[in-house]
Amino acid sequence: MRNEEVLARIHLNAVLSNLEILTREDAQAQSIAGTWQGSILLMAGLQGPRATLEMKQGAVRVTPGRTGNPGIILFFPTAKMLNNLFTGAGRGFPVPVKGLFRIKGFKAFAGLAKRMETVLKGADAPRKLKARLLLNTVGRTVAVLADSEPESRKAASGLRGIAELRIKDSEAVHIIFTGEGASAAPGLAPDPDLVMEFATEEVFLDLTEDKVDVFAAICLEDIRVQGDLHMGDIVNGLLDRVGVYLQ
Amino acid sequence: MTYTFTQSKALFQRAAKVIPQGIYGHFNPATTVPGFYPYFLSRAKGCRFWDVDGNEYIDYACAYGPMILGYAHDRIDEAFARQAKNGTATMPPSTLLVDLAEKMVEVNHCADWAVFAKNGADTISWAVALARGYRKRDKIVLAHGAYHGTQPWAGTNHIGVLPADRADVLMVPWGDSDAFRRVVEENKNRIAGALFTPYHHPVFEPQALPTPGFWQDMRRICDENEIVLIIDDVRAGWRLDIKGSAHYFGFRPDLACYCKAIANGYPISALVGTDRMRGIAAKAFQTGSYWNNSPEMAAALACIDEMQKIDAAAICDARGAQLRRGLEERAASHGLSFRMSGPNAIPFLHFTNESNFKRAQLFCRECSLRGVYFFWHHNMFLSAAHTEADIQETIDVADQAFQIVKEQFGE
Repeated sequence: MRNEEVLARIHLNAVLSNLEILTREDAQAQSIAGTWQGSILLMAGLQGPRATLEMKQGAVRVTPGRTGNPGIILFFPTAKMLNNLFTGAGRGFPVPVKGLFRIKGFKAFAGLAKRMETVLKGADAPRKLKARLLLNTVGRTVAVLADSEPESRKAASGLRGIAELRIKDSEAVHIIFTGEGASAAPGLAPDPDLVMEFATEEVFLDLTEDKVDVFAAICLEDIRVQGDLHMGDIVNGLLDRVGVYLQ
Repeated sequence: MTYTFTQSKALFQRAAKVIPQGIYGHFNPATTVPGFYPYFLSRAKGCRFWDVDGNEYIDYACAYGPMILGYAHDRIDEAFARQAKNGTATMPPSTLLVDLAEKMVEVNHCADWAVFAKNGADTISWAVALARGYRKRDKIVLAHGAYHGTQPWAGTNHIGVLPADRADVLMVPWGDSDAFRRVVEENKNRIAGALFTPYHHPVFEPQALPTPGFWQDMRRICDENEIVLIIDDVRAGWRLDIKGSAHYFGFRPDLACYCKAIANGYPISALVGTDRMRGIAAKAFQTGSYWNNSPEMAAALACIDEMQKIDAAAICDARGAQLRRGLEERAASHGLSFRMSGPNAIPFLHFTNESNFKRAQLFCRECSLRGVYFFWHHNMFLSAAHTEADIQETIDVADQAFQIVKEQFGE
């Protein structure tokens, strides 16, 4: 069963952060982001999760919580309404608490969201870029789950160390388990306790589509798992939970 | 000689097309160091095996425990083959059923009776059913991190397990009689049985031996609360003490489960019990298509006799002690923090200054490339077929591997 507030955190911390990679790697996204400069705060309820998206010179930076003085504030009365915006299901219109007339900002945000959807779901989507976005999403979602979903928190309780997910010579994300919670960061970790490396983008995409026999892939070195396999076992369980939240 | 694994990989590719996981269960090599370990074997003899690429290994996996006298052991194999010519799965069963039960009662410290099955999990499930039937209670107490098979209630598998499967399972840390007492108090008159391994042999962490008095405490708590004490001796049985690991640690359980080394690799397991459990055992209907196969019983009789004759447990202990001493000394000479935990005959290797196994994986990888088959994730096994020369050869190989660990990690 899905918890709407956890899903909202996933959307704000894991999915939204894809815009950082997208604007770095994709010319169209860069061009869209270059049409506006400023920041947008997305809030799910008064006490719920929030994130700030900053656009500057064609690049995007996403940070959890409120940072700086955002030009636009989008308030979603409930986590479910924010989730609806991301999934396209049901009512997902926010209340623009601030910046109602910053039309360029709204347009740029909508354009980036559409471009991300095309890359992730489009028939002719660039596969390598799609894989990189999904790796980022999956890694960060694991951290959100281990940090805020009761079932996953229980599974990860006491777990300390760094798990790194990476596509060989490509995107990487690492998850820091503190024993009581978890957070994620982009890129390689200096000394990860666990490394899960996918030989190619295609291997990783197949994995996200449940087309991979993981144990066989490890033995055939399509997936390389090194280090703390006890941690790997727990991360594997969390990866199964990712599918409950993100299809 | 440079070890390569071309044939192993090619065979695994074939396997993965028709077999989920390629090789399933605990034999799947994902927990070795894939790419640096053999996946398929060509033949085995004594304490050595040769893989499909022709690489030769001194083996410390022993098929995860069944091999105790050496692979392709002439006496055991002949006993099996001779009996197979007289029929395998027969009705009525062979007289060997009685011979083997008598042997178990003669040899095992807690056996007033014995029954047989195929795998360890068969007898463990049987024992749990008997405990519940005997006490007419629901709850079973297990230890965190203990392995008792892949049955849904045992907690190892996460696929297809329902909350109801685990609803009557209570968990405690292994080796903590105070925690056990607390759980017993909290579940007064509801616990049927306590199922534990004789010492703690989890995966991915060092092993733990019982502290003095632990088992006597556990026995007392069980007696005071009318709880059936069950010992899962599937992994350790026969290697520590021919009379059973419970005898080795100085206590008497109500039920004990055996498998693995009982027939040196032939498929048979045993559940033994004390007189007070005989009545409920007589009422329970438990069976399987091959549980009364006689060739395996012939192999078990020959194996137990041979283990008694040569004192296999003492040999395993001595070779394990030699291995432990040799590896720890060589590691120390390289300035590495290395320990073998658990009994000499069933050791677990680890570097004490890491919890992520990176050094252990590199060490095992380098040993594999030089003809020594070690585990980093699971305890290993000594056998009576390991000679002093085999152990010395192993220590010399390990020395080279320690040097590489030192070069890569520094300490």
